[in-house]
Amino acid sequence: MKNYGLEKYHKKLVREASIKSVMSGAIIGFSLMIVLSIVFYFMAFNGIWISLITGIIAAITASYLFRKFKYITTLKTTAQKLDSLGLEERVVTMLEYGEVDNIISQKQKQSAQEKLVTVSPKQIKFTKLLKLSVTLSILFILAILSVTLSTVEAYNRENPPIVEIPEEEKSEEDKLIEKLIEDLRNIVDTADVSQSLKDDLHLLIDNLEQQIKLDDTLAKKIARIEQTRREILDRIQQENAEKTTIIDELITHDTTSELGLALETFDEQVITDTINDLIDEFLELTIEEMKDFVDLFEEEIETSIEDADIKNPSLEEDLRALVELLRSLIPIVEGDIPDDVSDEVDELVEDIMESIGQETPEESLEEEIDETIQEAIDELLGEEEPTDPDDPDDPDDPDDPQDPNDPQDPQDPDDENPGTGLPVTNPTVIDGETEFSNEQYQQMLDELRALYESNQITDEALIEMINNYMNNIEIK
Amino acid sequence: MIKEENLKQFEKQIKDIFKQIGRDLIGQEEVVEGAVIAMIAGGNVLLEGVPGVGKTRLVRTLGRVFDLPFSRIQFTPDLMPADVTGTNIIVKDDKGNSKFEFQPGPIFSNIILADEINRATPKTQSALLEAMQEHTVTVMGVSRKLDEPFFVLATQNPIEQDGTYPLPEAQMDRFMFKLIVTYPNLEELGRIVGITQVTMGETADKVCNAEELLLMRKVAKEIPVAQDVLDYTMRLSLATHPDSEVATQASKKYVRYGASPRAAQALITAGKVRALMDGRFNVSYGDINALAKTVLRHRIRPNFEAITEGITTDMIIDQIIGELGKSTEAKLTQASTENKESLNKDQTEPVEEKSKGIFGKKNKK
Repeated sequence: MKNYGLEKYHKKLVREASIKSVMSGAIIGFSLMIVLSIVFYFMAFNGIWISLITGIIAAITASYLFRKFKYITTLKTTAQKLDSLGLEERVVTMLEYGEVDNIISQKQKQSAQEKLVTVSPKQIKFTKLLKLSVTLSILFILAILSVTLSTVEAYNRENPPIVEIPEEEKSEEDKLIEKLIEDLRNIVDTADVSQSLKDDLHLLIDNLEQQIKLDDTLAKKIARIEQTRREILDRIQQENAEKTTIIDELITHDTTSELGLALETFDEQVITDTINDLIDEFLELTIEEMKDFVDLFEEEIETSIEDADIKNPSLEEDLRALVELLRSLIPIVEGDIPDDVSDEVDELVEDIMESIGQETPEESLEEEIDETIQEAIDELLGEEEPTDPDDPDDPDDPDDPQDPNDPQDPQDPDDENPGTGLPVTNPTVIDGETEFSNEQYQQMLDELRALYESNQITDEALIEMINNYMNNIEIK
Repeated sequence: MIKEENLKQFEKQIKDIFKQIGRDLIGQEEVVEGAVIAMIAGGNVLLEGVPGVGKTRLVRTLGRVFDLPFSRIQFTPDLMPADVTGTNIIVKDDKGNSKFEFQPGPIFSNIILADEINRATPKTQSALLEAMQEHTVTVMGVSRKLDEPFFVLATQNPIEQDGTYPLPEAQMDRFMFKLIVTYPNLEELGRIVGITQVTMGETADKVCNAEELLLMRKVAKEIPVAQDVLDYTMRLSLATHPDSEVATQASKKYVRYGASPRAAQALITAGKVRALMDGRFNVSYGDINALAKTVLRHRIRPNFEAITEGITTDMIIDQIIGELGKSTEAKLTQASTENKESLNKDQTEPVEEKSKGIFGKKNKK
């Protein structure tokens, strides 16, 4: 079929068809994305990539199909389009009869071409393009919204958002609590304990954070933090107590058990005597027996060092020095009298005493915490410690009302802090429920704030602050 | 073989025809155009109008302009078929022997004015059937060919229905056009009255003879029609049938019987003439739409609902064209596949599902 100069019009229609196909395909793609996003939204499934890729594939496929089967452009459609511009079917007739060889057909072709030159390709307007554009724009916006909502919803369900209060909105109290909890976490992180215990303790701190949100006063919050802190320290200490030292390990072996028992006494004289006895018994052996003994002794010391949970490099060196001392006593010829090693033994014992002095357990953390603080904590939290009726120091024991050493006894005339540790009788002052509003509390709070702001607050300072506060409470 | 001078002659003669008719007939341009188109296309015309609006004068003028013999038959209830076709009568020859000899009736002419055709009985009306379609007359078993061109121009009065016999569908279908002759407007009436004061004579001159008219018909037949236009014409004709696959809402609601295939033939034939008269060498949708009422109005039988609602056949045709116009664009798009199967499939789709197209816009104009 001849084109009769319709090419320029045809190209424009091809362009229009291509644009419409792409737009229609995009509409299909976006629609699919919306549908998938809605499904994923209700499934709480993060399928952003599935939505996007499926949408793109659908759009491309649909565009191709639209172009191939719907927006078809041929010379005939071009002719029909031109005729619709007022050419009164001249162009379609020309396409059909242009090749017929008679005067009327030729006249018709001539007439059609004369009319055709009056039509500019610009006169061919894209039809339905606005409708498609509006639809596409709406679907585009909806697709973005639905994909975003679906993704955010899925993400939020997977990772519940942590609502952090902006720094400027946090009160001084919140900052203080935050700092105290952070300190607790630092204690756990720096403690020389197993990872499982660290995980447990962090979980404990997480629970503490949840519980604190329910507390209505700062004092209760601080008390709860302190209680948790004590528990943490207890558990750290408990795990450390279960660890074995080199001395414990020495006791378990034959050749080193006496030495281990001596070291356990931490008595310098006992240790010196034990080492001297060991040397004396050693010197009574034959050379071969000496060698065997030294080897066995050395082996058991090394095993003890290796098996000990708590290392003590200094003691390790001393024990190795003892082995070398024994080895130096082995004579070359049977009957040789070894040198006097008493000075060396004294020196060695002195070193050992220094070394085992390092291994002395640290002062119990339990002791660090004043009993008054514990009582204050219990009061603040409204918890009652189980009382031991036989405990003479029990302040709640009615059978022991006149403990002269009890600083919390109101009957004690020397008690400077008569309110401390006693049951609170005036709930307006402290009852574990209502807000603190007295001067002492305010003073404590101010001081805590000041300390916090100067970054000087520590656990000890906190304990001290609570202690002072509790000592100043007036029971009416 | 049509030559260029034939086209030029056609163009010139058409101008002259309208010019000469205009000398005798004031106004009624659409009726005149319809009558001329029908004469060139070879169709018959039914003129409907009240008395005194120029029906008979139009026929006489056409006869003079085309230089064709003209017969007028005044149809009355007692008119017999033989009065129209002619009959065998006993005559004596030169030797005095009696013999039957055919005496031609008034139908043996080129232009027949069947005045008030609905006043004759159906029997007499049917005497015209063969003549109008086959251009032959059969009397006593002998068929006689009528002279070409043959053209019946019947009139009927729409207001005096007492004692009339409505034309049967078969008779109606043989009229290419039904033209409504209306009252002249004030200006036209003024001109008519002015002419009457000067002279009562008819002054139109001859423009062409029978041979030239036949040549014009031949030229018009050569006008090409695009397949799209043919498809549309077929759809338009078929859409008047309420039960057809392309029936429109209007035809489904208001039409009892639709147009026959002669309607589609008439639309194409007359469309070619109209296109050529318009200086075009192809038939457009516009030609078909312009001729639709004159071709279809007497071929569509409205149903009871249409009659009670006062819906005329012209209104129905307008609605059908409007609805089909909506389907045109869809059809055009579909046709572009150059796949006959898909085109046929598309044509069977309900028209109400189609979108608005160029035809709808044209019709609105």
